[in-house]
Amino acid sequence: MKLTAILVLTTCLQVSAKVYSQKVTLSLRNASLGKVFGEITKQTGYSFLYTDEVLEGAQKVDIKITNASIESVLDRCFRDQPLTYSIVEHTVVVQRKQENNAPPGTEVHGQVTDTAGRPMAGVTVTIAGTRKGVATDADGRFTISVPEKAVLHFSSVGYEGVDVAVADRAKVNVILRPIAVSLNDMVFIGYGAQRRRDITSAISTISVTDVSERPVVSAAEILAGKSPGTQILLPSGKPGSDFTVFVRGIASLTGNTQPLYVIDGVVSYDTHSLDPNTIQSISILKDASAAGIYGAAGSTNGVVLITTKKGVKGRAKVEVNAYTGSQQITKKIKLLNSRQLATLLTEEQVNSGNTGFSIPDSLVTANNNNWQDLVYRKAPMTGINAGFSGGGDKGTYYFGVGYVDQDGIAETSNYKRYSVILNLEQQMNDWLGVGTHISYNRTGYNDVYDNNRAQYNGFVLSALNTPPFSAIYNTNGDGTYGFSAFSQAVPNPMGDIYGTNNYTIGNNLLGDGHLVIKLPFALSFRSQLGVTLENTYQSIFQDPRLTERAKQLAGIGNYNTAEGFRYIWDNTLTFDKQAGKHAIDVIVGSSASKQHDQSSNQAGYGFPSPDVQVLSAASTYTLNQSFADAWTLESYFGRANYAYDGKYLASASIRWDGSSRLGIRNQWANFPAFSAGWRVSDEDFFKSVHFVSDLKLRAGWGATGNLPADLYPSFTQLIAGNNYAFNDSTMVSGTVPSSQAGNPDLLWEETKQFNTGLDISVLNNRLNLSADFYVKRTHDLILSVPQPQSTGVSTKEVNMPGYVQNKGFEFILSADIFRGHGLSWTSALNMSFNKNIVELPAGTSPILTGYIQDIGGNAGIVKSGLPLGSFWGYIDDGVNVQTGNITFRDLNHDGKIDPDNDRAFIGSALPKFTYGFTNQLSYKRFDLNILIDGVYGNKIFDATRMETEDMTDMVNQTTAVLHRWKKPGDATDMPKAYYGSAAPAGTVPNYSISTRWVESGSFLRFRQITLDYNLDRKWIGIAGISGLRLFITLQNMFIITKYKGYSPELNVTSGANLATQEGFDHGTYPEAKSFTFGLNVSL
Amino acid sequence: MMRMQRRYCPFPTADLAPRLAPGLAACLALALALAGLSGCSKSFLNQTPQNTLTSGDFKSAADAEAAIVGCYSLMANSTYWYYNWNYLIDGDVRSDNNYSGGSAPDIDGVDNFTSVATDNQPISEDWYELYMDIGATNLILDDVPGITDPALTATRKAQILGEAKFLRAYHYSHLVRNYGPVVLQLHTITVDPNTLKSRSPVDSVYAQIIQDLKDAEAFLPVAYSDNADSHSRATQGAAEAVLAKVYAQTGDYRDCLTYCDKVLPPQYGGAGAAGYALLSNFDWLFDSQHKNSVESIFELQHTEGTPDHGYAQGLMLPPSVQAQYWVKFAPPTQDLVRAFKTAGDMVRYKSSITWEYNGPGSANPVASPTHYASTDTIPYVWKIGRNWPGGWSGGSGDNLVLLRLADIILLKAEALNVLGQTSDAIPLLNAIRARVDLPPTTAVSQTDVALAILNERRLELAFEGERWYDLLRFGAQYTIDLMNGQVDGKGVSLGYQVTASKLLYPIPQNDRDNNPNLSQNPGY
Repeated sequence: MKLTAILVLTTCLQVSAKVYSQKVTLSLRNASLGKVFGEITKQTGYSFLYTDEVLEGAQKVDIKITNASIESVLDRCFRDQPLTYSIVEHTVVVQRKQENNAPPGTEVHGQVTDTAGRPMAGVTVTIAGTRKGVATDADGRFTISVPEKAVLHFSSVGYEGVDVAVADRAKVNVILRPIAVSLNDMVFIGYGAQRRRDITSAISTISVTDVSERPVVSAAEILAGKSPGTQILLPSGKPGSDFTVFVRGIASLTGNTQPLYVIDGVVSYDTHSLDPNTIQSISILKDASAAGIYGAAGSTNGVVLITTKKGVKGRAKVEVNAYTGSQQITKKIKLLNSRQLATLLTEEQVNSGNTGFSIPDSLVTANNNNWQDLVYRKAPMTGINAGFSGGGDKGTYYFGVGYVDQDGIAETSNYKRYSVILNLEQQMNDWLGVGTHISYNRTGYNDVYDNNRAQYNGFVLSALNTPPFSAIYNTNGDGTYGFSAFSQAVPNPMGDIYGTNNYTIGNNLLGDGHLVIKLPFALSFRSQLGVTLENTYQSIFQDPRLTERAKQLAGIGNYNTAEGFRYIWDNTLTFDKQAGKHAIDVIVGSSASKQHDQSSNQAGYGFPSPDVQVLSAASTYTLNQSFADAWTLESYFGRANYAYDGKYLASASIRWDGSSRLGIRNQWANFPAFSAGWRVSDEDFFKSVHFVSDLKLRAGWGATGNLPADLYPSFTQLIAGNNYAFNDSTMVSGTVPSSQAGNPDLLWEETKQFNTGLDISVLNNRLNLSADFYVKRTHDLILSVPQPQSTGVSTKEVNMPGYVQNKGFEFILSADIFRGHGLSWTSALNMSFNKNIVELPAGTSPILTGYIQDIGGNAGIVKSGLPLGSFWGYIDDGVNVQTGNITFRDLNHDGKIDPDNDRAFIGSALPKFTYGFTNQLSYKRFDLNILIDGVYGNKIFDATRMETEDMTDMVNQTTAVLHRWKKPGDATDMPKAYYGSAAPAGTVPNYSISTRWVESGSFLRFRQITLDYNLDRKWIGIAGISGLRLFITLQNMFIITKYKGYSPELNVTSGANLATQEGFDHGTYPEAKSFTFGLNVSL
Repeated sequence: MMRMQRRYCPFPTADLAPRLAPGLAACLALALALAGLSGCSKSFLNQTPQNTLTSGDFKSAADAEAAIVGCYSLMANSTYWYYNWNYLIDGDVRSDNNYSGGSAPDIDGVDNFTSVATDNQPISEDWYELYMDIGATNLILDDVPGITDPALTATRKAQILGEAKFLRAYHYSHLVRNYGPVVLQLHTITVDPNTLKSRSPVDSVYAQIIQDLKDAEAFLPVAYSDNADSHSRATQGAAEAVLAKVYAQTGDYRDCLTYCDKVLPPQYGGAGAAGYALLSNFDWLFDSQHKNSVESIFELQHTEGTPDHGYAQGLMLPPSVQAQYWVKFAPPTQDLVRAFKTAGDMVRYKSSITWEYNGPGSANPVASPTHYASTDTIPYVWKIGRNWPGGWSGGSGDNLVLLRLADIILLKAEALNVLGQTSDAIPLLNAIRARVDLPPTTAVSQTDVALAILNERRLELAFEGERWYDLLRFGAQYTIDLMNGQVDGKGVSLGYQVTASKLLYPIPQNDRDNNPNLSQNPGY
């Protein structure tokens, strides 16, 4: 399809996002061309570009035509007119026939490419000061005749315009750079799209053009550091692990805290099925007026809309990305060597009264193992993916395949993913379009066990705690791994890692089929049936050749399966109309979804051979169970967006949701939302303010909901398995009421959120600021509350009075800092300030959380007046110079330290603010991207350090204990070594939960640095390669933090209980830094 | 400069409303149509748990059977303490039969009355678990009547309701004698959502217990077709036996006598048809070879190897049997040992108590319990759980006999004596003594016979959770004086500080936190 066309000079090309149709039916008599164009726009979504002067002298037309292509209609209309037209993308450019051609001049040709070296089709090339111009073809090439001393102007939607003086050149090649924020970009807003300029709520969009430029394994990783109001945490360094995402704080105590994901219109609760390389764009709906259209399904936590890549009409396109790299642990913790540990252990015993203790020298000199060196490795990672896309007049396709193989930095851990995606759109006729999106992947994951104490096989703590003088292999020579310090039943970290083969296979499918029917009166009906299917098969085998425990039982096997299947059927009707200065679009719809889950667990031991690891080989079975669950959600919703003259904007939505997961008497709830905006810069009185190119004020209010964590809180369940043998022989099955009573009145958790913000662009759009302030309050918090025991039950899920509030301010400032001389520099800074507080009614007992295994106490608390993620403990006032014990603060001055009166708030895991700073520098063929992110003001409870500095067990410790108190007079902050748990009367042991273990979690991190080189086409023009880019990426290479553990971002918890278990580090799999080399090829 | 203009919409503003209207109207119409399309029937939102039944949703005979099985299973499940051990703390450790032993300060508190905190652990467990047991029976009483499954015959349905009523009354009889006024919870909270009830007076509680037992008596069979069930499930005889005990506890000995006679076979002057008889050998009651015997009226079934069963008994068994090297709980008192010896009652003594030296140099050295020296040979409870399967986490298969004929025979003797028919009481007492090779009692006067019966019950029913309540029936002041007069093996006072208010337990404070309408007993 030839796209070259002569254009009228444009400075601002506005494209309306519509469903484009190719078929037109017209029946008009004596109609002006303007009216005909309007009708065609209505039916096809094509827009027309012309000036009033052009239409002067045009004749009125009579036309009656049915189901004709747009070209044939236009041909009819233009038959006797002094005009011609051309179609560029979805815009019909109308111009006068070339009666006054510019005087013949030099012919100039050239090519327009983007910063990645990809050819750009449809770029407008005009001769400055004239109305003459052309558009580039599919290869980005153009040819134009120019007069002498001509200056060519290149422009394209979403890209910066460029002026180039031709001088005497016959060839002009131009690279266009994307504009950071374009007011005319279409932003996905949930069940539709809206121009950025018309948005009245808080929505962040993420540019994902760089996804392929670096090794991204998980979709959420793309969001990191890019969006204000969104905190992305990697709670574990395991390969393939899920990210934790908080949008505007944590809004629920027991319910979900993670955003809802909507992938190509299909509601999903995670992104497991998605290869991030296939993502086209991401919108994050943050406030209630944006997210409210998704009602109660969890939109309280924000909604992340993900759109995957689609084919584009025109030339077939192939893109291949490949990378390979190496990861390694960001740091190792300095531990005592054999000699230092022997001294410490002896001192521990002596201080606790056991003077006869010593460690034989032969043992101390036998080994000096640094278990971290044995457990962690340099780990390779490789990824490759290819996308094939294209389309004709009636349909488009995108087909992608991908592969990731990432070894973890801990030995044996590994993640593999094979993915495939197919997106098809087809226009069947004038009124019917159909499409599908199918994304499937298969993952294989070898896990190692972390987040636990050494004696419970947590390898991270075992690598820190196992004495360096312990042997790697059992001294009896049977080939099994040696023991950790704790027990002959627990292997050392090598045994933890190698002794258990824990492999999980996952099959993830996300897909939908949809149809779109165009109806009269500017209506369009869409029906979409989406499904998600996740299967996991986990096989765990403890090898009898490798650990003592497995040897005793001749191998231990577990097999767990789980399936989650969900369908969601959406039906929507949209109405989109512009009439004069009024523009209105309305959507109404319904949605129904049902999820089925089932799982089973089997276990056994006694395997005839360690090489046969399936459970059918086991001689004894210890577990055999299966479970099934289902839940449903049914919704009706509507939204209207209205704009007057592009200046006065309003939006209102309502969603009515019902779910089986609520009390059966309260299954339904309403979630309304409103917002309005005022484009001040379009007012006449503002026109004189030249340096402000755009200014919009926004405000909105709305309600969203959150589902309870429990699937059946309405019911008092009767627990099976309470069996009994009446005549002392035959067991008969019995049921007893569960200790949790059903609550048929349970309501949704409801969040009401007020949001106000402004968007301002100054200095000809070179500086853009978008800022929002919000107050978000979650009421009807669902808590499991103790019941009077006389009822026969212990607890019930109820809606608490009181609320959790998140109040915050966030902004993103993007700047086009420098351009010229082949150099450009753009930068964006976003910051998010959020303040969380829990307000519960007086008398509500605090909820203790954050159980610390090491000492069997709780370090976290949910208490009225404090934020979520609060730590609770004693205050460390330093080490007594005489005794070597810590002086804890006696808060009630009663002369003794006790848990009831002397514990206090000792820090919050929630940051005061988070930030992200992106920089993009281009120089000639080089691009440099730097992403810096960080948090400030949060605290971490370092339970790992409790195990490596408390000097109470016969285990290894960090070198920090070298400056411990040893004798009266020693002034230090490290107390004395003391074996066991005794404490002087009236006080508590030195290791007690206190400020001693609370550390600053603030950090500034160079998350990613990528250097690109775009090869000149003349080097690669062979074999039809249109672009070749090489890149080097460094991830997590530098971090500035005072935190003493592996990484300030790691967290023992993920998924459930996020709200009340934030900020605990307890032997979590460490984070990796990586170096990656890759290339992108376009055909 | 050229002027750009967009011409999407040629319509004049004045035409707006009529032109938008059809579209908006169609939107609404279709929205309504869609409500029926993707929105489904009402049942779509009614998803019920698939892994469990739910309260209020009984449909089949099997649902009812499983639920009543659960009521018994809860009692035997040693996740819960009451019917495994705590009933013995309440009835024997609190009395002069056992010391607390072990290493639990809260049990010490129950034993020596010095400080019974309102968060005392076994007292809190009793309250919680008995109400949990009651909750399981309430479920049946609320839900089983509505079952229309023809497989559930009217007879069986009545039996199940009778079993539930029996069990509910039995649990309440334990509650009321320990706590005095208690909350009467007679429905599940699904049916009766008022969770903040006040305590009902003792009279009302007993009235409810008696009503439940009389209903149970009417509904329950004398025996089940499988005779073994006739001792493990609630029967008419069991309901009548508990009625007799409950009437006695309220002081209504006339009704007590009536119900004793309904239980007792003709040879003891009764009209009972269940065929209960004393076993010829006392030890057969506890040797696990004669489970569900003719003497047993209601017996809790334990299954060996079921980790949930019989765990708690291991805490009392001698270390040579249950080899966990901690201080064992609930050793018999020197006073009880003396009582056996004074009575010359070697048969019951040997069945009830076993001695073991666990001091220095022994095979299983453990620290000695309070009131015994490390060099002493220690008496251990030997009536329950003695067939220990080995290891420490196993669980004994020995059943627990909760109600047996000897108790009712002695209760009848007690009733007759209180009612002035002392001469009729003496043969019953002697029948019990004869079985264990003891001569007839020498007591003649009503007062002496009363003391003889009290002592006979002590020796016959030691470690069966009865002693404390026997004492209370005998008299509050008698109990106080007796307990405060307790001495150890060397004759030194144990320093118990029993007062009238300590005859009842405190209401657990944590439940008073849950229910502000729950009053506390005086003295706490």
